[in-house]
Amino acid sequence: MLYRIFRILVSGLILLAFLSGFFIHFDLFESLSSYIASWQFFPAIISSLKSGFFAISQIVVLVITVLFGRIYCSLICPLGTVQDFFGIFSKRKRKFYSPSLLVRYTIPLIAILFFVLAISALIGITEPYSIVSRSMSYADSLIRHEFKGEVLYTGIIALIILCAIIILSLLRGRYYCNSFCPTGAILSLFSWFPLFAVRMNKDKCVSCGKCLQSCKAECIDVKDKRIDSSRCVACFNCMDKCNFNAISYSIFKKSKSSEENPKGRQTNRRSVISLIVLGILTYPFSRLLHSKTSALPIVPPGSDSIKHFTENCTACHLCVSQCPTKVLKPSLFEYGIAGLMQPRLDYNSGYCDYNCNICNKICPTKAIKPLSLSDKQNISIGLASIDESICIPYAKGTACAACDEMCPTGATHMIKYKNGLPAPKVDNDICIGCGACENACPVAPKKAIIVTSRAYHTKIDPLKSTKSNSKDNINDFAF
Amino acid sequence: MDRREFLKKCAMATVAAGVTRFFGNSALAADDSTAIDVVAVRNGTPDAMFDAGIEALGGIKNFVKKDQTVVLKPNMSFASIPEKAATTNPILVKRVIEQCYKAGAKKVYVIDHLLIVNDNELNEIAKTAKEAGAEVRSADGSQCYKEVRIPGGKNLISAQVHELVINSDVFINMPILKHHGGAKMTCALKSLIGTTWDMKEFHTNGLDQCIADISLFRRPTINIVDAYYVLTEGGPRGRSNSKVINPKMQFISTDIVAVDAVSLKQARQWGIVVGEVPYIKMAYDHHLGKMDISKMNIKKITV
Repeated sequence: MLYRIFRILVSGLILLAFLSGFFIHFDLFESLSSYIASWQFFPAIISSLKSGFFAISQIVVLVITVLFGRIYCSLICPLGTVQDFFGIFSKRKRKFYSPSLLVRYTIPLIAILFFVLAISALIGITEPYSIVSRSMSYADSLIRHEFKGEVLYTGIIALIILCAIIILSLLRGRYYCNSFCPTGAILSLFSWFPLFAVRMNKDKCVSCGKCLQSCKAECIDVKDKRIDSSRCVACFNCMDKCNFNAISYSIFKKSKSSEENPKGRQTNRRSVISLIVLGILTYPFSRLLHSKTSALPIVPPGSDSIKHFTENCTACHLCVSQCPTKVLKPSLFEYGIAGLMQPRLDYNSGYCDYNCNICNKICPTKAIKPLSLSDKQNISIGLASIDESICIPYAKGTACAACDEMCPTGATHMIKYKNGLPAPKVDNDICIGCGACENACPVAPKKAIIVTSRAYHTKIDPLKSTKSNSKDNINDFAF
Repeated sequence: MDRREFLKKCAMATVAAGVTRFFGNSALAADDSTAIDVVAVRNGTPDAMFDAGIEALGGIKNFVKKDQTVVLKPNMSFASIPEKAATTNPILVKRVIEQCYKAGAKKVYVIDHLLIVNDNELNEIAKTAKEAGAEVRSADGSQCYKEVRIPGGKNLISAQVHELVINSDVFINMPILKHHGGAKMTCALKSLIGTTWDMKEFHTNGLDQCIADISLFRRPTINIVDAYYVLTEGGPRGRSNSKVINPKMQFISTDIVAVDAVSLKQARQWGIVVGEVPYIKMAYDHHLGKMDISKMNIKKITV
C-alpha cells in the first residue's frame, strides 16, 4: 500500500511540475520543465549517442530496471502517468494476453532502426516524452489563440496521437507501453528477470483473478500463476487486491517449475527471426522516405546542419513552446515525411533574437547543441538576399529602411542609390541569417528580402567597432 | 474621471497653486524651480540621477497628483539589453514608476508602438515595468489608437494616437538619446512618433516635419532623456560592432524643444550628429519651446 501511495504521489508531482512550465511562463517553472525533460530516457540516449558515452541518468535508469523492474515507466514517464490517470475511468474487464515478440517489438524496432537510419518521424510519433511535451505545447498555443495556420495541421496530428493513446489506455491499460513505446521496449529487454519484482507464490494463489482486474499491463497469467515481469510496470496495484497474500514484491529465486513450455519457445524463435528480417527490410524502405524539398527549412543556431538537426530531433516542441519570439514553428513536410513535425524557423511569424539562446540551453536531445550567447551570435544559419525588382527603394524609388533598422550585425546596410536615395544591400560575410530583416520587410505577399538556409552552419568573424575612440571627455557637459 | 471633472480639477489646482504662490509659502512649487528650463544631471546611476534631477524641479509631486493616471513612453523598440543603448534604461523606467506611485498615482501605464511585437521575457523594460506594478501596453493593436486632429500641423492634419496619450492625466516622455540613421538623432521629439499608429506613413510624408507636427497634439508633462549609455552609430538598433559610450547623463525638462536642443549640443560633442537636426527648428517654429541654449536656465547637477 505504501509503495502505491508513494508511486502515485511522486509520479503526479513529476507530471505536474513538467506540465507547469508550458502554461506558467516563469523562469522557475520553465527550468523545472526542461530539467525533467533532461531525465527522459530516450531523448537522453539520443543526446549521448553522438558524444559516444552514456550519461549517468541513462545508466541509473538501466541499473534500476535490472534491479527493480520498470519503475521508470510508473514514476518518471509523463505519458505513463497520463495513461494511469485515464485508466481510472476504465470499466472494462481485463484479460491476460500473451503477445508474441513480433507483436511487441515490431513497431519499436522499426522506429529505432529508422531513427538510426536518420528518419526520426516514427520516434517522434511513438516516443512518450515527446508526445506529452508536444501536446502541451499545442494546448498552450490554443490558450494564447495562436492555434492556426500550419500549427493547426501538426496540432491535429499531435492531438490524434494523444487521443489514440488515451483511448487505448481506457480499453487496454498500458498496451501502448508494451507494443508501441520504444523506451518501454528497451526497458522490457532489461527486465526479463529483474532482481526484485512483483512475483506470485504458486502455493498460495487460488487463481481467483482479482489481481488481473487491477493490472494495467494485463501481464498476470492467472491460470499458470505467473507474472510477466518484462511487461510489468511495477505499479503494485495487484498486491493490495490479493486476499491470500500470494503476490509480493520479492527477490529473484530460482524455482524448478519456472520452465516455459516448448511451444512458447518455438513461437519466440519464429518471432525473433521475423524481427531480424523486418529490421533488414527497413533499410531500403528508409531510402525511399528521404524526400528532398526544393527550399530547405532553416534550423536554429547550434544545430550545426539540417542533417544533424533532423537526425536528432524527436519533435518534442519544448523549444517551440519556450521560444520567446515564437520564430520556431512545427513543420509539416518541409523536411520531408522523415522529419514530420520537427521545428523550423519561420520568419513570417518572428525572427531569431540576437540576445537569446534559450533553445540551446533546453533541447533534451541536443539536436540543438548547447552554445554560449557569444558563440551563438557568431553562427550563420542562413543568408539574406534582396529581390531588387520588388524592394521599395529600388522598385518604387521611395525611402524604406525597415530591414536595415532591424539587422543586428550590420550585414544589411544602406548604400546611396539613385539621387542619393538610400537603398539596402547585404554583406554576406557578416549575415547570420537571423531573419530580423525578412520579418520586418513590409513588402507583401512575397518579401523583398528573404533568408535562405545554410545546409551547414558556418562561423562568422566577431565584429570590432569601426569608430575610433574619439574624445575622452564624454562625461563633460557640452553647454 | 470625465472631461468636465478633469477641467474642474485642473482649474482648482491652478487656483490653488496661484494662491499659495501669492502668499509665498508654497508647498507645491520650490523657490527657483519654475525658472529652470532644463535640469542636466551626470555621474550617477539612472535612478539616482532621476531622483536628484526631479528634486531640482520640485519633486514628482509637482507633476503627478493623487489619483491621476500616468502614461510613460519609454523607447522599447527592440528586445535589447541596456548596454546596447537601443532602448531606455529599465532601471530608470522602474524608478519613474515607483516615484509616480509614491506621489499617489492611480495607475501607471507603459506604452510604445513597436516595430515588431517583442513584449516577451527578452524585453527587460516590459519585465521590470510589470514588476514595478505598471501595466505594459506595448503590444496594443490599431483598435487602441484613435484618429485625432493635429492643430496647426503642416504635413499632418490628423494622426492615430494611442488612447492612453489622449486620456491620461499625466504624459511622461522618456526617450533614450542615440544616433538614428534616418533622422540623425532620436530624442524627446522623435520619441513621440511611438505614440502613433500610422508611423510608417510619416516616413514617406516628410519625416522631419511630421515629427514637429505630432508634438503639437499633446506636449509631454515632463521629458526625461536617458543618456546613461549612448549609441553613437548604427542607430536606431545599433550593430553588433556599434560603439556605445557611457557618459552617465540625464536631462529632465518640461520643455520638449529645449531638452532636444540641449541633447543635440551634447550629441555633437560626442560626434553623433554633424550639423543641424531639422525637426528641432520646425518644432521651435510651432512655438513649442525654447531653442537658444544661451538664453536657457540650465541647472547642472553632478551626483
